[in-house]
Amino acid sequence: MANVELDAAAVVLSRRARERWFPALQLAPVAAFLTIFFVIPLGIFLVYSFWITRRYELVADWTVASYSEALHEPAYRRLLWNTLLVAAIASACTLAIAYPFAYAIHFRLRRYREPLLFLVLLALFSGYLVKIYAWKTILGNRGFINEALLRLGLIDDPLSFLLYSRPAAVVTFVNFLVPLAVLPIYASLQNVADEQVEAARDLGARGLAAFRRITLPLTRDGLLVAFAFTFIIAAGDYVTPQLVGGTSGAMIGKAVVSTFGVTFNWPLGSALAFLTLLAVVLVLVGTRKLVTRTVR
Amino acid sequence: MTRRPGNVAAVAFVSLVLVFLFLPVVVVVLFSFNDAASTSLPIKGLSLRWYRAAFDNDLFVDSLENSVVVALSAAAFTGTVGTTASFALSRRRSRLMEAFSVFVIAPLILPGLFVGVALLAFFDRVNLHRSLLTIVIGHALVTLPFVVLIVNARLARFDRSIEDAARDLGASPWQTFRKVTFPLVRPAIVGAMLIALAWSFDEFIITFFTKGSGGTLPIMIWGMLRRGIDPSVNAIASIILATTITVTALGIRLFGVRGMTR
Repeated sequence: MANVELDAAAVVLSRRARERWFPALQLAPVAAFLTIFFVIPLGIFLVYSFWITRRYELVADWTVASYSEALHEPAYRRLLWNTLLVAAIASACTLAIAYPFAYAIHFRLRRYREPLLFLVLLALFSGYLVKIYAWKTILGNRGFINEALLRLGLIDDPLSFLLYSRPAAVVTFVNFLVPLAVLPIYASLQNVADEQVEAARDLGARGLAAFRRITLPLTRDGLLVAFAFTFIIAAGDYVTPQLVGGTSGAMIGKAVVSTFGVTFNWPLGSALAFLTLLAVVLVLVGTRKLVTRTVR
Repeated sequence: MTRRPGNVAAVAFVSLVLVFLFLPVVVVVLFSFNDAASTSLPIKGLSLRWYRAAFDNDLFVDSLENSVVVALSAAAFTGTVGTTASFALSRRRSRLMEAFSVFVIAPLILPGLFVGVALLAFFDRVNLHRSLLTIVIGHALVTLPFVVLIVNARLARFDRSIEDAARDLGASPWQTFRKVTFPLVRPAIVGAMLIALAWSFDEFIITFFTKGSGGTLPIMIWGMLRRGIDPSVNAIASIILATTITVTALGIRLFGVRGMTR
């Protein structure tokens, strides 16, 4: 009798142990992988920003010299400012397209929701470098916009400002960021019940007022997530500014890449990168504060 | 409903945005078949000469091979460890599990430049010679989130009572998993792995920092762009596009559009 009870207790215990340890075992490979190849590399990257280089050798001399160089050198300050500006313009334009787009799919084109979202997902996964390169050929001096305008006799010389400019960088960013922004906005639109909008209308709110009081506050978090995604990606990109941005579209990513690949001043490169990250986080926190206070 | 004037505007706007989104894809594919070397309209004639030129190029063949090996390895790895983790993450909702999910997604949210440069510094510090393996490691970091998110979403919709029923009928935990749970979740797992594969095939930013002497197709395109005009770049870009679009479409069909938009 006592043995039976003991066995039962053992079974319960082992099941409990299994329930506790099994999930830990399932998470272990991912946890180990991320620790070794994500946390530790980022740690090293951060530590390097406090070291210096002497004759192209990294030396563990703890200093904030790289940060002060990054902050005081006018070229880097201009670059950082330009990065935030271009990323902000690109994100704002992206949201201005993505929001009405998601709204139209969700509320106006109900029957075609799935195929349209399918296309958005396809656009999201269809080429990054390829898209940037394509914009270079579309906007270039011998690209087809200029060729078409020349052929139509609308211009005598190719419009060189189409490429290697801030607008070129913004158009390219918007082109590959819109699909990314549509997803969180669309997800948040699912919070908006038709009855709520109808009720607001019945109570006398006109179209825009109903949108401002009901739909916008309910989709606020989706918009903030979309802004965060697009702003971070645009601010951290180095390919777009390099291939289509020119001088007015120059951004910090290119400077970071050249400190790692050309000048081998790794401490300066990582200081620039972490300063940019800090600035990006500040912008995101500030935007969040501002938006949550005004939209409710 | 469909006759409202607002709907006409909605259709027009949505179509216009879609044209804008797919314009680069159309341009690249169109010029890849152009008989002339220029990238301007109108197209002079259709030919496969740039594809032939690409396949005659040893660098292209090597890069294609590298891309395939890297994408398959990254997808196999993330599919295995990511799915395993998803089972633990979806089984119990707790603060710790939510924090872990954020941890898994972090490498994708951070700019690729950060991840790439950090890996470069790390490989240099531990004297890990850069090769296809280091490319796979970088790709695994950014494709793991897709696998975990997609499989998690599938498991969240999973009806646990089916498992209980199997247990009541005498199946062991392993049998329940093998014969009931896994077959039901498998489409989502395969779909997620296809998404990982497509993402890896197209990845450039991190690969740029983690590659050794052998590069992938996007790396080859980058090199060609820096050397000047070579029209076969359109053919190579089209091959990347055709691969990622087909693989992505297959993947989305498997886990469903809802698997990623909810």
